[in-house]
Amino acid sequence: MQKEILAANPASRIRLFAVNDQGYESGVPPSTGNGRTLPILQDSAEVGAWGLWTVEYRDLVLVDGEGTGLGTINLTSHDLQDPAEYDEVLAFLRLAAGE
Amino acid sequence: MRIAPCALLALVLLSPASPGAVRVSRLDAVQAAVEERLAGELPEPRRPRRDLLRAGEVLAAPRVSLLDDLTSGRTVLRLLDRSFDGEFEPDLGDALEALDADVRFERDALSGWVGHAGGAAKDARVQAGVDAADRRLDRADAAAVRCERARLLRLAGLALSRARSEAAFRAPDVDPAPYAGTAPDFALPDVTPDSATFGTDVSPSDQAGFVTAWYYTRLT
Repeated sequence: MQKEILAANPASRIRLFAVNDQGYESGVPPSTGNGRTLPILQDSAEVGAWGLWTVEYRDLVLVDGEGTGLGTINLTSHDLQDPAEYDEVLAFLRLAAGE
Repeated sequence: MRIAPCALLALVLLSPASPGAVRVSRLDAVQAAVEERLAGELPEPRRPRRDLLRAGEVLAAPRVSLLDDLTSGRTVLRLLDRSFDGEFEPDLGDALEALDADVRFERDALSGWVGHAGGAAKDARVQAGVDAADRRLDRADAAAVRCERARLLRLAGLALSRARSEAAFRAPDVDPAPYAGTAPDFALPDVTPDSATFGTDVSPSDQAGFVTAWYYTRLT
């Protein structure tokens, strides 16, 4: 999705990140490589980003340019493999960014 | 419910549930209790009898949105509170609390979009709707009787619904953010070898000016 966003608008101010839960470090290598550039941030017991944000597994949290939360989409309910869901999330991000 | 389905992104609490989605009415338990009471011996005095029958009629109508619940709930509370002192508790009280929470959920979801509604005019309309809802919610908190509280909750819901409509605002109908205010900050290492920030710590606070999406996953 990030590549598509930047291909359509190289000046886009939309950025995507993944936050991998602590204890799942072994899943990183199979999920990277092959030209994949999505930043995966590895959580740890010391930082506890999941707990700080009080998220659930597969939450996609959308944040505006000032750090204010715009909403949460759980991708278990909204599978991005479904083109309609994908398009809707993309539209959501573009709406939020005014792009 | 963690995520509302989408219209852009489906569930609109104030609109009918999307096709295939089943919205559970907050008044279902009250409806079941009223139907059970109607199946038994009806009250002899005229007014309780009439109020029970009327409540049954109101509750028999389809309720496919929060506004439907708020509209029916207001009437049912008025009828049952004046004629059946406590007989439909805790169902009636639980329904009112759930409706209150639903309206505040909708208010929070909409307020996050002020500034992102698609222009100053739309932003202003959304903000005005949120402000109107807040005033009614404040009055609802101070309401002396439950049917008045239900009436004010309905007005708050209407204000939010109108704000969406007047702004022609197809806001993504998602859950509110999991935190209040500014995102709690952290710094975590980027472990994607081909990422531009590989090996460095990345923080939400570094992303000022960017709309960001943070996907919380468990890679396997």
